[in-house]
Amino acid sequence: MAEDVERISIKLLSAGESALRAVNGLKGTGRVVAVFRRAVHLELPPAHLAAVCVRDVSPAPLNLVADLDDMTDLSTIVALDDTVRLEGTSLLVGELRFGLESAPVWRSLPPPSAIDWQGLLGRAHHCASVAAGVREGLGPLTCAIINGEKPDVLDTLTRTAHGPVLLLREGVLTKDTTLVCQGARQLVGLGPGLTPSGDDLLVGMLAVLSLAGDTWVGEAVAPAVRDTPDFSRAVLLEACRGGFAADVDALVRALLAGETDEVDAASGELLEQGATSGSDLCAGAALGAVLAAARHNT
Amino acid sequence: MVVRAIIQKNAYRDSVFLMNLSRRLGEMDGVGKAHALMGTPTNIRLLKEDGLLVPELEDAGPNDLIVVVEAESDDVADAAVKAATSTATAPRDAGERAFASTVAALEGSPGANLALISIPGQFVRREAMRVLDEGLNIFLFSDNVSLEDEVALKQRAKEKGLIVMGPGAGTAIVGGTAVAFANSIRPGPVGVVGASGTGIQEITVQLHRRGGGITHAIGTGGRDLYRDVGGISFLTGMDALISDKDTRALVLVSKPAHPEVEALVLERAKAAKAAGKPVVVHFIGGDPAAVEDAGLVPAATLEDAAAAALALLRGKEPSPIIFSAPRDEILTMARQAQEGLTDGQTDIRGLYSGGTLCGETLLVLGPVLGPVRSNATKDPALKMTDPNVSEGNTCVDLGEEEFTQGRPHPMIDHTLRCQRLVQEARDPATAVILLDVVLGYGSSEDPAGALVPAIQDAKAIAAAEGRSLVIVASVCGTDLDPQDLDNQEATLRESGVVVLPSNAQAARMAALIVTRGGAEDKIFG
Repeated sequence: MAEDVERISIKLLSAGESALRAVNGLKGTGRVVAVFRRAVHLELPPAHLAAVCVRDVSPAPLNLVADLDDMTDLSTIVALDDTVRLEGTSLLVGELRFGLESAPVWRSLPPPSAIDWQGLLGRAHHCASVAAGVREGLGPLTCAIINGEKPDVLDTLTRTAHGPVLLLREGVLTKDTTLVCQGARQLVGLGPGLTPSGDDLLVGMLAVLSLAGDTWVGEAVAPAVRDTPDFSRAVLLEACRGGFAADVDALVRALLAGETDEVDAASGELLEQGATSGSDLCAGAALGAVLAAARHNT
Repeated sequence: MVVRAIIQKNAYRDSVFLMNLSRRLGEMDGVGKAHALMGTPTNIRLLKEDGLLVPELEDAGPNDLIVVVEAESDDVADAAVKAATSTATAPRDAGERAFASTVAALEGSPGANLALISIPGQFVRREAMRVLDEGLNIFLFSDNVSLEDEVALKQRAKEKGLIVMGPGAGTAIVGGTAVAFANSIRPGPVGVVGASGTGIQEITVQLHRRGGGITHAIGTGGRDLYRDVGGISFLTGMDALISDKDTRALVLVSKPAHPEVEALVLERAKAAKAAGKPVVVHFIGGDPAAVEDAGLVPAATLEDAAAAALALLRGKEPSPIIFSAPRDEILTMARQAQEGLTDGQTDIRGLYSGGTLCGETLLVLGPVLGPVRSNATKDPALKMTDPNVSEGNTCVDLGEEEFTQGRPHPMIDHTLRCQRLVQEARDPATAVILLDVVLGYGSSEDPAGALVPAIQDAKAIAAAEGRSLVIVASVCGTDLDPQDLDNQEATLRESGVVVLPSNAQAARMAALIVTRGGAEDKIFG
């Protein structure tokens, strides 16, 4: 691209902490590696990823949320392989310029001050039933495992994931990091989606356990996070470190300290995501809540 | 069974796309299992579980898209792989050609003379300039384009003998091809220029319904007749129609123009008339005197504008239309509809998807009922305090920005209107709910069907409280539209909706009902 191109300046409404760190640490020139309607993924050397999103996408550790109308189709203004570089306090993506200086930094909130342990299990079951309403993905399997039932969906994904989810459950309940890592390894990269179902399930579970105080689970899962699409791997590693998107965070807080209708509202928001991502995240959060409740009771 | 696989290296597709692709392949005749997944080791194991592991998948990595199909024969497998390849490599719907940039689109479309641009407003100027410099006309669907950019683009277009329709243009029909929101209209002798999307739709529909047709309908964007813009596109559109041998009459529609611009338009219209092409002018809410003084034909409503153009072409004197049906029939219809209304039901609530249609209703109802509140009025005294809450006689344009931020236009998605319909039904003051139902390309596939459940709920809510509720609608559409006018009207009538053949007539019917016939003299004159 010509250097004298007149760039269009776009304000950032929020910059995820990790995204900002990756941008500020950019060495040389990065590039656009994926373009969707509502987000573009940036490869930021030496070894980081971030996403530029329109404003209805939830703030998240890796997200740079831009002041672009929700109906904006980013694929009409950014192309695959467009260059990404820093110029002063601006991030240049193709022909766009994002001001970094005034972008509010978005950080995950600290854990809730109190957890309603008494109602947690009920809300978890409710969330699981919401997730099970989406027949593809891991919602039905997770709901069945939570309820101690046999899954009524018997596709290959369900059969393949059944054992690993049980391993994961067992590992968390017994605080066995090896079992947790083993279960996670078999789930990472499994299933449909750019963020595969197994990854989403793990993110949902880690979010609840992390905010419920079981941060060791993230440390146990992290070594298993390898063979999955790059962006999903980055999101999952953030989750292992306790970083989650605002919409996942909202569901977790509703589960831990809210009311059932708040769980409904937050899970409803998540279900809008992708084909199965939302329901897999809900399923993971429900599983995490059941496990957190069980660990609290013991 | 035969198993085939394709791998696309570093191909990121969202999960909805992958799921749809899997489903579509799985539904093909002779195809058993089908998967579109990222090539992670766990997914490769999953495929192995399914008996779908083939050697070529060994090269797949976690960032690669893999598509695997199991088919009953080589031929079916080949067809499925071909379908998968073409879908996976096409960025959008099959049949649509996609380009990564405007420059690529221009290079890839030799011979094109019109570009439709729909990108965020702040990007428009540069991209549109590129298009103009390549010699293409523009239909600019984008809004949020600054006035300064609009002027610059239109001036550049004028220098190059081109036209920019828009920004915020919703409707055009160019040489029989509908652009954006437009109806299917038969060819005919009338040319339409308008700074009003649904205004053009209603006029072209009314022309069609009366046996007429159009050459072209040119939308200019709502600000074209502002002083700053100077009517550049409006005048260019008029010139094109004046010099078009197939166009034998012109209809011009706009909100009132700036006086200086209006003078230019009327001057050009006089030139058209001098060239033997009668001109009907509908400046919505404007003073007809200036039009008459110019020797042109003013029209009070969109329907009148269409009817007048056809009358002039047929050598007849135009006359305003109050109702298509005879007076006694209309009064009987109104009386029947108002049965069951209680004394407390005094208000009309208009819920509009078309801005100009909403504006026309305000103009029809105002002189009959007195003040009508709206979110779309320019009169501060009548502006709704909260567009979500109706008060007294109210017409809401649900296509206004406050309702469309982050959600589709109400001509595409009726969710918000359905919610509002039920909300209005709960108000014991509501007597009549007035609706427009806009058909055509771009509109939802079955707008009447989408509204019916809410209409039934609304009527049930009123009935449960011992009230009746009247719903009056007009359908802006033709028998050639993809949604089929007859079906849409029948669906509404079956739900107890009073259906009128034009927006203006629907508004008058609502006034007759809400006044229990008291407005008869004012309406019929």
